[in-house]
Amino acid sequence: MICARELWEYREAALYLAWREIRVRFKQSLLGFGWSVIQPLSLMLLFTIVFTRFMKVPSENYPYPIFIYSALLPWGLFSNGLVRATGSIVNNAGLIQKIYIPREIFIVISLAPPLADFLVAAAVYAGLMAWFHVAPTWQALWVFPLLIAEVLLILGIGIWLATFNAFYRDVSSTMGLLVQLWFFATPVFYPLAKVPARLMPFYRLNPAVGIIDGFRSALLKGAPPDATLTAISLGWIVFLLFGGLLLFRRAEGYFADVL
Amino acid sequence: MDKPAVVVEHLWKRYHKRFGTSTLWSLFGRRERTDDEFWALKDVSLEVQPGECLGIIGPNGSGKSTLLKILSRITTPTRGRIEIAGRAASILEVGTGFHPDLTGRENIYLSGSILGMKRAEIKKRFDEIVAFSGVEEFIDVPVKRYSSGMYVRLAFAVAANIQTDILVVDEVLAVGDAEFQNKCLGKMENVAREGRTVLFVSHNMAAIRALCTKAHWLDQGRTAQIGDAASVVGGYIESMVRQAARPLSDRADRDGDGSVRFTSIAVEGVTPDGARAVVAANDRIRIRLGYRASKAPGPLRFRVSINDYTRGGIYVFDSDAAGGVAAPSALEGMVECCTGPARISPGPCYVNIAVFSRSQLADRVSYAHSFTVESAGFDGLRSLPSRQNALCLIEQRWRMEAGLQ
Repeated sequence: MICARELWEYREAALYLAWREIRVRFKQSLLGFGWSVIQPLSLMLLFTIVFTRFMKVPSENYPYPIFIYSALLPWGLFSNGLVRATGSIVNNAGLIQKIYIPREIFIVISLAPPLADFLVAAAVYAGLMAWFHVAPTWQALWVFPLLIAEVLLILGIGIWLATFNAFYRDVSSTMGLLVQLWFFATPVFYPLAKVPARLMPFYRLNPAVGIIDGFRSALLKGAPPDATLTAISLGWIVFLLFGGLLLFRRAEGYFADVL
Repeated sequence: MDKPAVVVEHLWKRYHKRFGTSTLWSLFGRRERTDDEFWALKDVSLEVQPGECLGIIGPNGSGKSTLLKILSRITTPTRGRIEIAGRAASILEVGTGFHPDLTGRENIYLSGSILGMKRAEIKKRFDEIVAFSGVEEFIDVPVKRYSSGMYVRLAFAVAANIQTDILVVDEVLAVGDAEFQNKCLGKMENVAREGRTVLFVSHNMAAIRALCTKAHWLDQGRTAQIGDAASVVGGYIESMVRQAARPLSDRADRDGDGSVRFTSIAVEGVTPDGARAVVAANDRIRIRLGYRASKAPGPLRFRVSINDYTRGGIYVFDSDAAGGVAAPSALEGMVECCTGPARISPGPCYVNIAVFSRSQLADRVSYAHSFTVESAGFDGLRSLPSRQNALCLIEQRWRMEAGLQ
């Protein structure tokens, strides 16, 4: 249904645009990639202080810093990716009004900088594992399919939000609030086990739960991701991507007119 | 005959004044209010054969840009069909995809790939692009440090080196200095001669005549005339002259924020014996512009250009360049510009006028007025060259010498 061939034809343009996004971000910046380290580490410190000193949040017998970092790592990608994907069509208005490139490309390449951040932050995680003496297991390999699933989930949500945002800018104004709410509805700073059982049926409808918790299982606990939660996430991904593409295909011809 | 390179059939494009084309919901069949709709294109059809160069002309707001956007697949037509056979690239601005923080080299690759060039192609043509732009020394400097001239030259050099069967070009030649514009025109001529198919939008009638084999004239979204470039351009100019005959206050085709509007224009020839309604080559020109401001304006800057119908600008009179004009003391008034002897070769001219308030464009009217320069005597010349041969006149003395130099 999507013109995969057309996307393939524009792969070089897509690569250059992705490279531009990353490159521009670190130009005229003293710390450059240092920011990709500082950001997750300072969040980790902040949460550790708040949730071990001010109030006690259980961390399933792991040191709290590495407990939260194992989820902050995928959460950072999710939250930044979502905000950027939502803005991707509006932010590239200049190009969209002047040249034809398959518009899906803009959503995809908007994830390049968050992905670069993710890779750096993942290297930091390896350091944290050594520091806290958490040995990796083979289960850690789950992060690869989980990463793919997470990117697809961001794209799936992003394609809807980016389309709505092209017509109504209110969407990007809401993103800050939305991401914040989503953060509390996802097991990042607390363990999944602390979610009250009677809330669970609703709670696990959140497509990010399976993925974020999957990362924590694979990276920290040496266990595979929870099957039910993962299945729910995958269901969401399929629905969001296909529905989103249908919507997008219908709307993209008018982006240049409404932007 | 070959299969046409571009076919456009019964193209219609609707915009909504309030919301671009439509609200999101209308994509799913909900009816829009029809009182604010506006058709930018009405039943436009055209066909371009491979190797043909088609010029698209028309006044502002006639749908030229909309047509180009549809041909470039940037926007979808409301009704109708287009078919393009072959690889097409469109250049609707110079510097598509340029990023100020990236270097010249990086931008060449970035912009080239966005415009549809393959990496290998860009590599092959890299030196040529750099040489054409003349920014060799600065190729590894971020383009935000470039002068605007350098930036435009580099950007155009990238666009000019695109090798596709079909090229869609908007008025990119309206940038840069005169020398560079000529260079660009030359490049465009090469493109047309190489047998590639070109669709070209321009206000420059001389360029259309020089480059295009065919022309398509759009007026208020409809096709006014299709045919060979020279005759369509001729027809277009005639209609513009007719339009210039309309009183200024009736003209709605204006640009600018409207804080000041022109209300009248008069052009006279001034001779030692007094002013008259006709202009002769020897006369000084006096232009009087009436204006009305909506609120007390600051100092105003007026620009008047006198143009030839096919070759464009002859003179530009700029009140700031000439030392400025006193700030207006009332909301309504008249400004007058007196020139030296006209020295324009006999033939028709038209006048474009613009006014700026605090360097913001307040009003601009193209073809605001037209007049004819009489062929009556110019000092010292017994016969005057025709407009086709020369725009301007100048005194001259000839001398004959015998023997070898």
